[in-house]
Amino acid sequence: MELLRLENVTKRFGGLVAVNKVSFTVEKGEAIGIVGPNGSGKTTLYNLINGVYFPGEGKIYFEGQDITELPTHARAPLGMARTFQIPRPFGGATTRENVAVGAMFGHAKASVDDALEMADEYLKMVEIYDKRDVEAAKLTPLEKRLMEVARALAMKPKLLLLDEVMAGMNPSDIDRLIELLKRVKEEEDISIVSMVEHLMHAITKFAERVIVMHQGEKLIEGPTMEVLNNPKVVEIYLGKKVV
Amino acid sequence: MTLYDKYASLIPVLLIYAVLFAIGISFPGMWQPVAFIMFYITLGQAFNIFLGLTGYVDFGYVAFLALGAYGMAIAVDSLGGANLGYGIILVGLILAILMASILSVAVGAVALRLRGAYFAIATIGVNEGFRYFVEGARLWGGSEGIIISGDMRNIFGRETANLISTFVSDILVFIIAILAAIMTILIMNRRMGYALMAVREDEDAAKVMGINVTKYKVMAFITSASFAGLIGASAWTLKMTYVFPSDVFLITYTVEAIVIVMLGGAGTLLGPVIGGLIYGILKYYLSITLPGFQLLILAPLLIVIVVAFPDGVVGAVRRKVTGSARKYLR
Repeated sequence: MELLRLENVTKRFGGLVAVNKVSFTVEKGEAIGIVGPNGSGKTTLYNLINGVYFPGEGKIYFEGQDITELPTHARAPLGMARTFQIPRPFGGATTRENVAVGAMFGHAKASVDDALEMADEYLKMVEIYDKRDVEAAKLTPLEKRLMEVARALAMKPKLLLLDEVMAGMNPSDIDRLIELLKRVKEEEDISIVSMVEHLMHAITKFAERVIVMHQGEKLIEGPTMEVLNNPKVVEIYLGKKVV
Repeated sequence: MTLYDKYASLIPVLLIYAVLFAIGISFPGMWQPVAFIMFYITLGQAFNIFLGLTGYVDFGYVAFLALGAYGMAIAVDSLGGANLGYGIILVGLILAILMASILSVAVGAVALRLRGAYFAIATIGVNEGFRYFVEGARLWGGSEGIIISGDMRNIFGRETANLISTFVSDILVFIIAILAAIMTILIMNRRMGYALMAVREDEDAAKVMGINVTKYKVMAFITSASFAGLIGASAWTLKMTYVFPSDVFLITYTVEAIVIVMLGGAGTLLGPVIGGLIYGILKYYLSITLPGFQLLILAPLLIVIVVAFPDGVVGAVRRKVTGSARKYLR
């Protein structure tokens, strides 16, 4: 079953074509990795899926519904959630309140009391329950990322968009987070799209399929190991042999 | 959270109201200063629902008080002969809410699409524009305003009209303060409160979380404006028995309201009460000891707040307090 479909999506900023005629689909319950070097259009792609920007051309469908020009706030209740490359906690509120906001306004549409209970549950899941009454601004960078994962999961999404969520984590934290995401994906039947710049190692453990972005275009798409060993992909990351 | 935890922060607020009321009633000559201070507390409470909860600064806020004042004056002036008795005050209050909230919908629908400084700049024009419109178009008596002292005497008789002006209007302000506090805590405990918190902290992230930010901002704006209308109707029209555009469309009141909310602690229930208390007392006694200079305290006070207590007095104290006492300082 198809969950998300992009058709020839293009976004220009003045003369710069940030995303150029990108098409792909995400199936229900699938784990996809989007890789690409800095400036390849990954974050813009997320912002288009999320409704932060509207594409200049092309269409975006979620569960068959055309959401190309649906406002951002109307997308989360449909079952979309994301984390940010630079975490964006509601700094003055507690960690628990942050996660509760996700549960209240996302696909879960929980009441205040239920949302606060769900927040505790998800904070335990990402193992920062002991920070529940700490102001989110005072969390460490790692804890902020975990809080964002908890906040996104509390929305009970069908599609979870992770933006460089593992950047800056040490290998054992990455492994723990991957295990957690795999478990949640199975239990709650979530499709997860994870975007990374460098952490190929993490992507191989997690993604079933990989899309490589390069200069705003989709370069290649396919099974993880196959794609990452493709000579063109290796060239983008390591450069061409000069000798 | 238990029900008690959710509403515990009302206790210190209502306690302060009760103490002020008791002082005003018990000591001769204290009712006027108490009413003066209470006006500022109530103004802070009303403005906090918008400024404090959303983080948006509305420089045209006093226009809502002004329209409320006109609402009451128009009701008394045009329905004075209808033999409604005390009902006329109720009609006036309803008209005050209506006029203030209609203006807030009009302003909010346009200006709330703007962010931060742009919103603040757009709202400065509202107040000044409305004042010149009233004067220039000779609306509601133009610059001569509406005087209702004669109508009040005709409706209620001299004694009662006097009592309304010197006592009932102040009691109304107390009631508005209580209602505004209850409304604030109700909002804070509901989805709307969490939505506004998210708007205040990071509006773009709030949208991604599924929050219809415009809807919640407009709701807070209308609520806050309605309370402003009630304050204008009670503390100005009923108390002074006249409305002049040059007195009510005065940006000074907006600045005072900002100072009170920021001084006490924006977005907290207790903050505007503490802010209003400090500001009201300072202004009252400065106007006796250094008459003419009382408005000069505004600027230094605002600078001190921004530098020393960016979260206001209540925010600063809240940081120091841990554990169960925090629930009284929300």
